[in-house]
Amino acid sequence: MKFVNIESVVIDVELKQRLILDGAMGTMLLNAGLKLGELPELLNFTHPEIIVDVHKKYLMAGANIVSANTFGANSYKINGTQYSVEQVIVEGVKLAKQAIAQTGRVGYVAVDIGSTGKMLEPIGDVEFDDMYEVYKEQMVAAVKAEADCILLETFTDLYELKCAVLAAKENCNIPVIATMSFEQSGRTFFGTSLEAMVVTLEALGVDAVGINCSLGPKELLPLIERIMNIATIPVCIQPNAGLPVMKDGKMYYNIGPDEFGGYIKQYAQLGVSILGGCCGTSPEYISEMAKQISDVPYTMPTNKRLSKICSASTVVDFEDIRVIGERLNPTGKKRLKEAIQNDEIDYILKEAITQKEDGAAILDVNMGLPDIDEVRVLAKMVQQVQGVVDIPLQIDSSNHEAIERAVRIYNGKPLINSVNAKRSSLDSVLPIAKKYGAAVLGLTLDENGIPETAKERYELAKVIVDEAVALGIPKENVLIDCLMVTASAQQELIKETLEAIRLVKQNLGVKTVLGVSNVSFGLPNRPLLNQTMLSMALLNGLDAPILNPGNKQMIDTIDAYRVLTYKDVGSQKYIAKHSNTEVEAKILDTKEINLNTAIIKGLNDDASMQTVRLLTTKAPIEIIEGEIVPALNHVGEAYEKQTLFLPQLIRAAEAAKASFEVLKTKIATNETINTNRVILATVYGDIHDIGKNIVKVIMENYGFNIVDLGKDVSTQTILEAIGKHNIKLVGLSALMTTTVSSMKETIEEIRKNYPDCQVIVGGAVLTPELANFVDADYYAKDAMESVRIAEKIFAAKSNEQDLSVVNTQG
Amino acid sequence: MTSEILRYMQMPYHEASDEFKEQVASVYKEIEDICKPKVICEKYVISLTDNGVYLTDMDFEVTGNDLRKIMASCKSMYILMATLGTQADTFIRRSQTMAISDGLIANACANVLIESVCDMAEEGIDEEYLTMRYSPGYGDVSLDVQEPLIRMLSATKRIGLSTSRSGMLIPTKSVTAFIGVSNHKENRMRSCSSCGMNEICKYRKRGDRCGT
Repeated sequence: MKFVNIESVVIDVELKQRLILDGAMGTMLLNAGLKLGELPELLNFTHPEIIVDVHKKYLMAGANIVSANTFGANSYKINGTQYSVEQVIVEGVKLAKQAIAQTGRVGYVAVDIGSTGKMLEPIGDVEFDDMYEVYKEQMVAAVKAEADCILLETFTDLYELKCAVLAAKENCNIPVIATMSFEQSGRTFFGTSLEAMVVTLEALGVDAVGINCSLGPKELLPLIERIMNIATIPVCIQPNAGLPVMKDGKMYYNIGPDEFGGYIKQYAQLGVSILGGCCGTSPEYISEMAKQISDVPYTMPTNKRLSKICSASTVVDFEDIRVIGERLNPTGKKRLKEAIQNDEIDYILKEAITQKEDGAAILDVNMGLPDIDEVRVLAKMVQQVQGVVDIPLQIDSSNHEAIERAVRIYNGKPLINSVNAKRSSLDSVLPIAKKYGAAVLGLTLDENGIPETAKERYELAKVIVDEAVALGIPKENVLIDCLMVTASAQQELIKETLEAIRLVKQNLGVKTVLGVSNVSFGLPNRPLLNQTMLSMALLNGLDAPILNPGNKQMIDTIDAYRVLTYKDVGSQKYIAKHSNTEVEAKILDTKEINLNTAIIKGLNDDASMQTVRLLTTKAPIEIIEGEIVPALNHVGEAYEKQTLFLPQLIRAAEAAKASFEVLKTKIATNETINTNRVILATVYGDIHDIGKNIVKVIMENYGFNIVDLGKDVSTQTILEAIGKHNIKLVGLSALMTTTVSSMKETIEEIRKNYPDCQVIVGGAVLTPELANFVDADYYAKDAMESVRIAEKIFAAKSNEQDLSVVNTQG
Repeated sequence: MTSEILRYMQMPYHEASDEFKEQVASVYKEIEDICKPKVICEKYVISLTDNGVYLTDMDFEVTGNDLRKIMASCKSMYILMATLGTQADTFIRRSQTMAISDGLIANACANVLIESVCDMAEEGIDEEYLTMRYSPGYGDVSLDVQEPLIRMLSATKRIGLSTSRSGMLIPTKSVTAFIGVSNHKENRMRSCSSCGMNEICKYRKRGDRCGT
């Protein structure tokens, strides 16, 4: 079988017609007596005749492709049986081929591959690379079995499906069909949207994309219409035989073969290329649908050539102004630099969430700092950011290895920032964009730097677009940044940037991006220049400004621009958002709340405002000792006496933290408040972390410097961190009984490697007895007790240290 | 409902301000809106064994003396699997990132919501006498039974439920439970003596009960 790609008329040149897939295998096997707990794949060995018989029935009913009985043949499910993944797949394909030979029909064999049933990080606990290996094993077996194509089906997590597609594309060169199961809303359990699936899978270069299972043909119809509106490659659909209904304790599907065939005919008319059935369907359904679609002329989706990127749930095109948030780039941002260096993931994620809330459509993510492992850190941060915001990301690095790694583990279709017209850049970055189907941002500079004139910049943009297209990257996947110059240094060239944008838009027909706020660097009242520059650039055709969405005037300028250019029709969005502007203007509270009260009451904004006020008259250390510490002591004692409760304790801690954040900006980096470092981690195997996070925020307020290793942390990671930060105290948390053993192992290793390091344990299941059992030094019943214990430990240690100082001096 | 949520946060109802109660109620509403709870609740024939309960259709034994005692008068039991989906986990993670206090509220709301999803599923069961709802990990039934049960009920495909390598449910706001169909009226309250938390329970210390 040959699938001819996107632009051609038919997907199978030999048959010159749409393809018919088979129907349910599981349903047939259950009818043949398969038990609930049994692995259906093992029937390939125990009852091969049943499998061959099912395939033959489907072939005789008119199927061109039969799915081998290999759906669950992955190592998670097959390990522990007497067979290997390869054996199951090779045998499954062999039986399907036998059936084809016995019927004498023209047919192809698909290796049928379902999801593993395990979940990838950050939702689950399986690493992307480990999951990849599981799929790779199946793909290698498919090649060995000489299968005709790969059918990836019934996926609900786009991320896992991307992993499977990469394994398929990298390990075999047969066509790949990929389908997912959606709910009526057009989303999967995981929140993957239909549109994001299509955009992502097309980018990855699958040969056909579609839907299977979960709903009947009637319910799927509106979803298929949505797919047909955007798909540019062949579409594959396998609905269930309607919806399940219980009758006399047995499950049935509510649509018969005739009605099923009627719906499938509508699908064919819409241009669906590969059709078949899923749960509840049988050879009668396939036979009936084959009959009904036989006279429907064959059509294919057309390519609308729109620039699009996406996350797993959100597709962003560039048909309107899209703000790219610039805040996750450490250049010129001291606090972010510090956060990246110290692994303060929460700080970084908070920036991500805030930018989205402020109106960013896309977030730039750049982790480029000297002395960090950018390949690892960028990929990790992309994954973490995707765990908390659902908008697409722009992966920003000058290190092409870091780009490739981040693009690979990105969930969806990202935008790469950036390639430029230097030979070395074109040669290293464009192949990544090609391989992963990512969009790529081209900067108009080359070996000679940024050209002065608009014409020259346009020429470089053309070089980038031409090179990309020559490599097989669709033109719509290329965006161009004509580069902002600063008004303070190159005032005369600003008009060249604007003109270049116009030329690129007009002559190359690609979308444009610009880092607007660079214009004002070195001049006073920067917002004014930025805002004016933004208006001018938009008017010249800028599609996606890179800016700080927290800068309200910039977002307001875009709102106004959309009104004035007839994009916000009827000014509806503008009116909705700006009607209350004056009312909302903050009336300053005349009542003064002092810092102490602000902390005790847990008022973050008041705490930071009062800290700023106090800083005009007091040194940071005076504020800490005179205001913050007494407030925290008050709250801590009240909590211990149970006159104040956990939510109040945490709020007070957060208000104190807000105050510390203000002080941090005033304290030189080498003048840390407290050097007592403590590691906190939820042990390996445990994915619950709220308790640990509560302990963290409370301990931070008592001045402990927390190294937060997160949840599900391996012993090795903990040992490395102890060594790296010279740690004397580790706090471990476990929520479930099953992970207490993991806690014990971790403590054993700490004892062996760092005998002077002490351990506090806590968590829902822990008791003083269990703490004893795992050989911890201390058990803490709550966050406050952790503070008290840690204070004692460090007081004792500093006494020892004082003594040793005296000794050495003596 | 609000009082239950507050209980998960260790906040006595009468100590919470009205403003706080309103915030809690609004977060609960928000989680309710974004989550798409999914449930499987199906009846299976059982028989008692020396060590636990045997599921005939699946050829699978769930070991545990506590479960055996609960199912003593039962010939069948319902297996209940319920989940709030990954949206709840993402919501809690996002809340926690912005402020731990928000995370604490989100977490407590999700706990109460998944319990109410289970209650509703149970109310939908049409049987005269049911036993208490009993979950793996509670008493002496190991969490390890969840993985094979999820596989046998195709719960990953049907409701998006899975387990971590250490046997915990993913998404985290999920429940698996057994409910026996009995031939007489059963005591449906869970007892503190069979609870794994009984020695360290904060509510018991205050002379209270956790309410589950």
